[in-house]
Amino acid sequence: LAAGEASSRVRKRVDNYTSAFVMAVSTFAFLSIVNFLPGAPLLPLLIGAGLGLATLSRPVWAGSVLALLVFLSILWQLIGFGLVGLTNSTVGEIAAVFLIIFIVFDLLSARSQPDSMALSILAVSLMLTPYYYLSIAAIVVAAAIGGLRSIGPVSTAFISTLTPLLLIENAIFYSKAVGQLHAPPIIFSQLSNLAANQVPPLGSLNIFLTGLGQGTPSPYSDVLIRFVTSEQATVILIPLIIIAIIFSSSASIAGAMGTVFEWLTSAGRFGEQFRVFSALIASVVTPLAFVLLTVALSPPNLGAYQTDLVSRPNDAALLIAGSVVLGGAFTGREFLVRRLEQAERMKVEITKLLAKVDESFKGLVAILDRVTSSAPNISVSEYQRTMQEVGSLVGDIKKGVAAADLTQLGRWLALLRESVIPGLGSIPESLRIKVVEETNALLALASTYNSILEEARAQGRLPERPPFRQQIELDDAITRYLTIAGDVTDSDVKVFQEYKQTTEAFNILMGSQLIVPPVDPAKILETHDYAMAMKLVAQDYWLNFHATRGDEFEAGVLALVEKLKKLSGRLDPAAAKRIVDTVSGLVKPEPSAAPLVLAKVREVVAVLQDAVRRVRDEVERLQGLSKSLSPETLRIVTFEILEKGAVVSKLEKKTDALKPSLEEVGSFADEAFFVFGEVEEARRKDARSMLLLSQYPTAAALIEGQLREKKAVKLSELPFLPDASTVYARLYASGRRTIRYDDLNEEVVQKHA
Amino acid sequence: LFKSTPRCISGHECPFTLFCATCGGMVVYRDLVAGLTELPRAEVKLEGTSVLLVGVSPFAGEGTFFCSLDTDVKEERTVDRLRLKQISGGAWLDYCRADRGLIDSWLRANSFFRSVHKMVVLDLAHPLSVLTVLSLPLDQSLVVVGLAAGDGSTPMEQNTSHVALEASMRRKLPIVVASRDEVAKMSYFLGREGLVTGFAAFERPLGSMLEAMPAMQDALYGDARLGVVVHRLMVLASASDAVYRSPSDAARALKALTESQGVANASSVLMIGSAARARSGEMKSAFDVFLHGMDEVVASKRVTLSRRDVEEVYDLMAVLGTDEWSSKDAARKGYETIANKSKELSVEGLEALL
Repeated sequence: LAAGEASSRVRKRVDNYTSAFVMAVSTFAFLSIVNFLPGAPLLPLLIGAGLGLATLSRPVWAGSVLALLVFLSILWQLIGFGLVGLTNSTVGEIAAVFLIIFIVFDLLSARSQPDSMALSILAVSLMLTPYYYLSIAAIVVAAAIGGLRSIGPVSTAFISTLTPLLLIENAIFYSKAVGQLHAPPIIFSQLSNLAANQVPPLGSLNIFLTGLGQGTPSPYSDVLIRFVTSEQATVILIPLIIIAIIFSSSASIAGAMGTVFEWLTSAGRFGEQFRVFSALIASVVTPLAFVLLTVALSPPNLGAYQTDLVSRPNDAALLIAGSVVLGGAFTGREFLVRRLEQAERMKVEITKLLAKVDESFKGLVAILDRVTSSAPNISVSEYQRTMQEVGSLVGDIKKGVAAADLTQLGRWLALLRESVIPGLGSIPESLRIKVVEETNALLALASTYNSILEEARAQGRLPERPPFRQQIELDDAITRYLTIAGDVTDSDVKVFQEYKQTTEAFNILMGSQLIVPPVDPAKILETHDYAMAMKLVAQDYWLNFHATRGDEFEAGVLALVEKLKKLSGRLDPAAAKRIVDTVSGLVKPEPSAAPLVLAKVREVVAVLQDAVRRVRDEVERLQGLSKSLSPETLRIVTFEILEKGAVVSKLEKKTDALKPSLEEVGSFADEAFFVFGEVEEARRKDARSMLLLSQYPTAAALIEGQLREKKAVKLSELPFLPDASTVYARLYASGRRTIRYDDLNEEVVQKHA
Repeated sequence: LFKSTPRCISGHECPFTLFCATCGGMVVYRDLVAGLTELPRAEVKLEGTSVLLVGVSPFAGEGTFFCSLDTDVKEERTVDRLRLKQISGGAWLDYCRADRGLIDSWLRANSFFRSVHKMVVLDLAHPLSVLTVLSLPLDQSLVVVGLAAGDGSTPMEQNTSHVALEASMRRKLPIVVASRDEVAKMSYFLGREGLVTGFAAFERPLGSMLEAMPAMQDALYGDARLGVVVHRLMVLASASDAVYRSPSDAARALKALTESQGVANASSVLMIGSAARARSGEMKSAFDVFLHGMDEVVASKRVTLSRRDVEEVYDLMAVLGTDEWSSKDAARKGYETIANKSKELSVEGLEALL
């Protein structure tokens, strides 16, 4: 509901109740004071209550009923004072018809505004009582309720309704005041003559039983005929017009006051509350004007009418006092209405603000859901807490807004306007800044841990980018954050994999047990704790590994390099070159280089395996050669390397099971150095035997050739060194039955020679 | 494939990508495509020396093209291998009749003759030896080394070996002959690798002959002009200071060995020594010792090759030109055995092919 609609509804409700009350009171007062219906005060009370209640739902209908009752009551009184007799003369007939038409028209027109009619009827009723002066207060009330627009109808209805009664009052007055034909007519005074001589009411509601009237005829039953037909009635015509003008003018002053007040408050010259006092001020100004004008115009040389305000000055004071009291009451009512209106406006405003809060809530929930689902590590608890608090407050407000007093409503309204809505509105921006800050913090951490990784000589790096400085939307900020977080995740996992590979290589090299790193950063990354994951990998793993294992690793590698360099001196040139080339780069090995060192050590192992196999092949080849030689030959020419077969085979078996640890390869290098030394020594010694054997076919051919020509061949005749000649002679003789070697004479001799 | 690297529209050199990594501009391949229309020039790089192996295993030889000829169940012809279809029970004559011209066309197709130096190493006892000798051109850059059958060979092998030598002589195709029996007994000291025997030991003297190809060609074709076609190869391999007092003593041993083989009356001698460079003087003395008293020698040459592995070890080889081979051929007995039974498998049968 709009604020205006809410305001009019409250006011309408209050006006309805006021109208119902006025209707009830007016009905009751009129029917009790003006005789027509029997059973006063019970019946008037019941009818008044009924019409009052009917006003709440059907005010026009209730007004019509009241108008009908008033019409009938006045008609009853007119008839009682001789209205029917007026038809005997033309003037009377005209006056009677005019009077009835006048009342009917007036009441028909007034019933469309039941409030005004009821108040005017109440005022008319009061005119028959000592409290006649309060009739003006009733007019003030009408002005207070209906404003300027009601003044006309009220005044018209009052004058019109009062006129027949005033006609009867003056008729009785002039009939009683014999000899005072020039006395001024009674205009605004208690209609005491009428009140005292009213036509009795109906005998009962059952008029068919009791008839219309009972008792002796009134002594004034023909006063109306006489008053009208004697043309004396015209004396009240001018005063009636004057009092009608006074009445209207006074009421208009009240209306004008209201307009002025409204203008003043609308123009902002006075506060809104100032308008409330318009009724109170009108209740002073209107009666005061009425009294002054009525009294001032009453003298015989001016208006020439009677009013009790002159004869009973207290009445004037009471008139004003009563008016003020009623004006005050209606000012209080206005206060109440305005207070209710204000509360209603606040409720409407609060409802609108709550709708806005709900809308903000939906948007914020969506944003927070996106952030928490995609970036759970960005803490939004403060926003969630704020939203919970706001949600709780909104719940309280929704529950209590219907019954809350103005103070509470004002407090809630202020809270919503000044705290809640601005607070909710600031959350997206705050969140955006937080996401950007988190992104930049992530990048800053990555940069820091990159320095640590560099110090630890790790190859892998975390994403390094400049921080975001430009203004970006929340969605873009989240997208960028997710991109950075994804890159951090990928690179952190890669760096960890590198660490795992490096430590595995390190453990293999150091002969340590393979231990899986206790915490996998992937598990931490699943919880989106990127800072912890980066710290774990860069600082706890890499830096710690670098700092704690560096010395022992360097010492182990350099010791192996020394042993390998020493061993290479006993390897064939190609193998020695490969070994030296392989280990040449290992000047200051660091733990991070463990995979490279491991690869080199494996290559070294492969080279050593090749070298050992070559030695084994050589031994086997010589073993094969030895098998081709006769046992006699082998007795003469020995090969020491044949004795190295076992030790070489043992070494070869070790190479097959050789693990690439620094210690194991080092100790193998020591053993290989020793074995290769022995083999080298044996090879050196065997070289002479092989050289001897290589020339044996030549020697045999020479000896054979000479023995074809002579029976003995002196060793000195052979072109060989003495030792070689001796060996050849022995070898030649060993496989032949007809040949013998004469050691004493140093000659090869044919046995049968 | 492309003559130059591609460039982007801004002129940056780029890898083969769509966009430039420097400026992000598009990489233009239009100019490169134009270069594709030019065909690259075909350049065939031939080895300086080619070796044809007939019935023997390949051996080491740096910068040398090896191709082999043999028989197999199925005929096969590649750049470096020709396998003639095996003829069941076939002798040299059958292959000569069936496949005459094949070897020549194959050797021309694989550019064998385009090398500066050509060597043929053939087992003279192999059924294809006669066909090979008959197919080879008389080219002064061609050296033929044959392994002649000896006492240990079968009569058919001896027959084939003898006919092949006769074919060589009749075609005036110079040939260096080594005895299969001597090669089988040969041993060679290779330093760290130890002792090798048989044809593996003979590979080293073959390598030395490859090194001395110009001198070999000069000596062989010089002798051919004098009517000496067959040359006897005598080798004293792996001689050392542990056995001989000096290279001169080794030369005496080689000479004695040569005399014992009945090749004393050589008309030409090519001495090839292989020793450490520092021992070239000793090698020269050794050559002198070997040639001393060989009055019938009309031409002699000396070549000293540098040996790097073991300083104390050296080789001596003598390529002796002789026209008395046929009478001293160890395979003659087996030849005659077969020739007497089959006139076709004799020198007369050969003459029909010439």
